[in-house]
Amino acid sequence: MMKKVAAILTAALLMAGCSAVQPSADAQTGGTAEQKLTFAVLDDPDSLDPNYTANTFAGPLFFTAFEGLVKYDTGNNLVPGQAEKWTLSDDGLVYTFYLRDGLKWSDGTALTAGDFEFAWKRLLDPGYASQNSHLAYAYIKNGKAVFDGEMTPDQAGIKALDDKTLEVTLEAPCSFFMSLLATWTYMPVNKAKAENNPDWSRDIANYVSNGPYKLSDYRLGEGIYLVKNENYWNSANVKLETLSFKIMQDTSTALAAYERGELDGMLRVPSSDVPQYRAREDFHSMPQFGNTYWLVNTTSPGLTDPRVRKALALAVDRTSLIEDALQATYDPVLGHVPKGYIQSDGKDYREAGGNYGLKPNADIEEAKRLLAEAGYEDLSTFPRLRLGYYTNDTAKKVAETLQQMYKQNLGIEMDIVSAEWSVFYDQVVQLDYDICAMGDLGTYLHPMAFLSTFAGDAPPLETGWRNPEYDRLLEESLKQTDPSVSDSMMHQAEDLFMNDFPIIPLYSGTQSMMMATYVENWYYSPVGAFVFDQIEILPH
Amino acid sequence: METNGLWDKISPQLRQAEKLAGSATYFGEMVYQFSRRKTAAAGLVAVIILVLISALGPVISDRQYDYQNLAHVNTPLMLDTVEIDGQYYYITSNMKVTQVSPEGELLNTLERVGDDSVQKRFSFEISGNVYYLNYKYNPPRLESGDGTVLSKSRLFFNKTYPLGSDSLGRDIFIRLIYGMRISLTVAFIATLVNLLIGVLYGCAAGYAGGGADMVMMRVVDMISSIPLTLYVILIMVLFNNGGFISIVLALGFVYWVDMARVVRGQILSLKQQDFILAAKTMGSGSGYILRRHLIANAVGPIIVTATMQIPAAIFTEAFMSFIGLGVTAPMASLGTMCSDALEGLRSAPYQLAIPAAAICVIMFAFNFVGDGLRDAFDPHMRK
Repeated sequence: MMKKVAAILTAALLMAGCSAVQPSADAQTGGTAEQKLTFAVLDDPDSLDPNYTANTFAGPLFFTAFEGLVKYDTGNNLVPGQAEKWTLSDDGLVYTFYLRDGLKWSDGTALTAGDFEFAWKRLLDPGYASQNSHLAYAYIKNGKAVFDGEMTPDQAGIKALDDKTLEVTLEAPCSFFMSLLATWTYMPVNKAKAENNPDWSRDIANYVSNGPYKLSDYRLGEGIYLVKNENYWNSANVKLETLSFKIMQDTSTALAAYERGELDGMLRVPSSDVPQYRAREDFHSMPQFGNTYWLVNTTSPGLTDPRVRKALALAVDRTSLIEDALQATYDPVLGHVPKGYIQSDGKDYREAGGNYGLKPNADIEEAKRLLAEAGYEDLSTFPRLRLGYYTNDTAKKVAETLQQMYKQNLGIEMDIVSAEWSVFYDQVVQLDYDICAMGDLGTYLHPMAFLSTFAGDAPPLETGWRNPEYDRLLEESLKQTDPSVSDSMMHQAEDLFMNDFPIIPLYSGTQSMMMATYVENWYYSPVGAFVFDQIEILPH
Repeated sequence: METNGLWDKISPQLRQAEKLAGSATYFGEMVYQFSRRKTAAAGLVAVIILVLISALGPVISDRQYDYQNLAHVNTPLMLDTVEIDGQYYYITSNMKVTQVSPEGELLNTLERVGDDSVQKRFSFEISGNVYYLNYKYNPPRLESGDGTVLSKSRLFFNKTYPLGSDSLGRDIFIRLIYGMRISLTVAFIATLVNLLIGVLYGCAAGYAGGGADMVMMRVVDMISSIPLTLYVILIMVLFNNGGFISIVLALGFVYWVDMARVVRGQILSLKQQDFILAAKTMGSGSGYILRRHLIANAVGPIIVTATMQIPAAIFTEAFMSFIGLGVTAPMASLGTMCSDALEGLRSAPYQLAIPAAAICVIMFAFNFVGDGLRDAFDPHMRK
């Protein structure tokens, strides 16, 4: 709450001070500019341990302070990171990674293949309960058995052959395993530190990482402050000396700060400002492999019938929501997996998958018919449901718009409730909601990035929906060597899921951001990776 | 004028002049003193108007505070329109073109026909001709098919939304009225709590005195040692996000402590007076003394304190709603209207200015009334 108060005061000061501020273009006399970047992000991460959290807000820290075996470059290509090279066995099952020479942690200690082995085995450890364990156990040999406690972690297909060689055996060939390795889930942690102290990541003063930058300070609700890591293998080519991520929940405040020259960039331009900024050179609209949907609690009274859930999905006018309420240029999504993945037959996965009867605009007739079929001819008997959202301007707007759409289109009254993210996420996991805001950004460019979110006995997002056939199809599809069979299995799985409508798909976004024109060589990838290692600040 | 002799009959006029004027009652004197102060009178008038608007507004208007028309988002108070073939067109904040009637009412929004991202312009079709909305410029401008800039403009008052519409196409005017309703409800509750709990508690402590007084006032100290904001948060947790109810409960639990202190102080000094001793000597009961002598004599400070407490309560509610602890969406409170407007502060500042101005007016009005009352009741302040 104090954050908000501070934001108000800041806003007031900004308004008062607007006219008095000089342009930040200090007379730079031909020399190089100070290599310092201040960038506004939206919220605090819920953990600073890369193996543990699935929270998108942790992205800025992990993608700059850590480096996996591979990483993205500014052209969205996967390039070698900590691994210098790797080989894949002919059966597509065994990867052997050769680490670069002389890799070090930010505290100067040597980084070995053992650190990777330790980190990845932790992912499979049911006791550790990583939010992203599904990204590991579905692929690594014996991963599921280890996760279910039937085997010991030593039986998993992860083995450090020596200090510089890591061997990974997969359960089945996986075409996108390398892009999985670029997610922060597969980044290494310092074994010596983490083994002794499970809470090592809370100790900011002794926080170690292996990326181009290292953490110098983290202040909750204020900012994540990084400096160049001299022990990084490629530090000679890292130009940026200081990198600060300011946490500003209020994007309007951030934009004002950006305009005043206090920030060099910011994530998410307030929607009502986008029309005015879209023609500007420092405005960027980055395509995202993401889907914003609302979760439906399939166990809530009134929502147990799939027809009701489908009716709720049909009654939403996505075009109007996107263009008018959010004033954005998003695409309506009419399924679970958004556009962006090209199948083996050259078609886009979404276009091949159909739209489950949904339209970009509302289909009120059909929605009413389905409700009547489900026994709600008289909608006054429909239970009063809660529309939940986490503290966030966009989520709030969507909540208010949906509430009105249900009221105006169907005559269903709902109450809007909100909570801070951490409380909100707990409610989701414990099924303590009726319908609530959610969004998923694919961390790797593959439908599985979305589909696996609802698989298994304890999915990361809980809707009360379970289907063993769904789990089986996903598992099978990973084992297929023929990509077209694998694609069709994923489609079958998605059909099972979507025909039950445990989610109300809304839109897939672009990420709007401001980045000053004097910042060069940066990239924000469709899977949300901050590619900031090559950034250079030009004189300005 | 003829002089009268000592024994002459006096004229009716003179007789009238000699008559004693009826002495001003306590209440009459207060009214006189209060109305002499211009700010106080103005404040009272403002409060009455506010009460009337918020009581009658929703009854008279058929609009709803939560009704959204997503075709009309962020429309300002004044519509700057471009004239094309005798029709008026308004360029919306999200780069669409809406027709405006000659009376200033918003009509339908035109569909975009095309988007040329190289030239940075959208195309629209108006009565068979193509027009471009060029967004390379800020503000964007309308161009006809051959590229000439259409500049013939006319300013309209927004008839559809007299105070504009917000970012979800809701009428700010009707939301403002509902917001003021919330504020005045809070004012009413605060007064009620003060007068009921505060006065009774203060009287009891002051009149009982001694050990009882000590204990009761320490309880007051304990309650007031925790800020109101914290009570609201605690109560919200208890009631699972109760929204407005939790603010009402928090006010009810703790908002009487200042009043209790004031009343206790008054009673403590009044009960030492001789007339209380006299009343006791004549066998009056405690209840009678409290009612007839103590509270009656402390009524001035009580009214003043009650009035002075109102603005703080209203502000607390607005503040809580602003930070997201008060009323739940889509209900409008002046605080939530302000916080909703923050996001679009740069492009639609009126959305913040209007509810903020309303808060100012309400605060000033109640403060002026409170000041006026204090001056009227306090003989030292009279001039």
